[in-house]
Amino acid sequence: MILLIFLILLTTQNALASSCCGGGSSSSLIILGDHEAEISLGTSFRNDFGNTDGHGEAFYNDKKARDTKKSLSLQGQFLIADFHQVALKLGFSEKDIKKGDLQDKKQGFDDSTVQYTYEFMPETTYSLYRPRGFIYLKGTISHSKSIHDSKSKVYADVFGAGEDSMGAGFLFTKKYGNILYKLGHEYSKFLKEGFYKSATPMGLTYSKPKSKISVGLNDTFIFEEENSVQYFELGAFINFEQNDDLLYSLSYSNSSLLGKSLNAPLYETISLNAIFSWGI
Amino acid sequence: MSCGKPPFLNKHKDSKENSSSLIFNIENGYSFSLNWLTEKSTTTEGRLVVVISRNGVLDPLENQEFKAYLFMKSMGHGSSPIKITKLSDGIYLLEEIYFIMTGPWELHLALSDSYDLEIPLTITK
Repeated sequence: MILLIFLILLTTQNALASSCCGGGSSSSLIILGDHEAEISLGTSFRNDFGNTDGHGEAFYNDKKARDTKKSLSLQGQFLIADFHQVALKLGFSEKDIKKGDLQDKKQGFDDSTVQYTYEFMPETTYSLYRPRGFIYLKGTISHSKSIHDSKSKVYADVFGAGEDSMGAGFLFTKKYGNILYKLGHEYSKFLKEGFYKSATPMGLTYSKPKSKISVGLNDTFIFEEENSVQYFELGAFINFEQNDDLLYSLSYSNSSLLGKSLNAPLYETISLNAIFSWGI
Repeated sequence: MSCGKPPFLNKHKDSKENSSSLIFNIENGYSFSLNWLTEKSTTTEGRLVVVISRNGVLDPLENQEFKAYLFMKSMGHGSSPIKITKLSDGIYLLEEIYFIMTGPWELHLALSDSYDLEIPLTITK
């Protein structure tokens, strides 16, 4: 396991970044099941295929252009006391970009995230309406250049926001029958430039009783104060529970399918994660 | 919250505005004439000849420096530096113009710090 973690650290990426040229939405970094700890090893492939302007018009890259990012990530969340969790996310990526006569390929660490979560509204007794509620604080440390100080003509060395940020958010979950609903909101402030970014994720997961497979949909609305960026990331996923301690998750997301997009990247991402868990 | 046309239904339609020669008149009698030698796209290096005249005469710009750069306001970034070669008084060749993504760009042509002419360009392919 230690060797595996070491390899991941050497070779991996993260998804929190400035929207242009490297960014995306974030995962919740919260244990929702009856586990003491969860460690997720993931790999993803992101393809950027265009962007939108301030009027919402979409510009697609030339068919010969290439703008891809391959990533490995390591994420762990741990229950440190009743209702208190901490989490850490690390990543490493390779960007391969070809735009006309310009071409560049670079590898580097993505932004790292640490998070503290408190379950302020636990579900200790059954209620038809009352959800579970979590609040969290997070810090994100950037390890790469920003688009403003990039040394690459096509920003191949931009793997994250390029500056540190602090954030806070909440997440509510509620299960009705076979469907788990999620709704949250997150606000982050970039410490150097001072602008903010918000993400509003919502989603549902359907799991049939006694089935090892569950499926779901996610939709995250992202807004960045700088350049008035806004877009929706729509995703679908399928989970396979091999046993009580191991779950595989395959997901696909796309930023061009839903809602008005302004000054934003158009991209699609496919990810595969293996989530190891330790029960209470 | 998801109101509005999604990007896949709102693709930019090429306006065919890529004329190769344009003239801009600015303050104090200065005039910039742009003659594109290449197509403006993400797939090729852009090359451009800029002719700067004042009151109809080619200007040697003795006390001023001519600068040119690209910027993309919507994304908050520029592109790599444009190579500027003076061919003769008032005539400059601009090379290594790279539009690294499609969308709305601004080409800035500046004379020292006195003038900064912003020319909007829409790169569609």
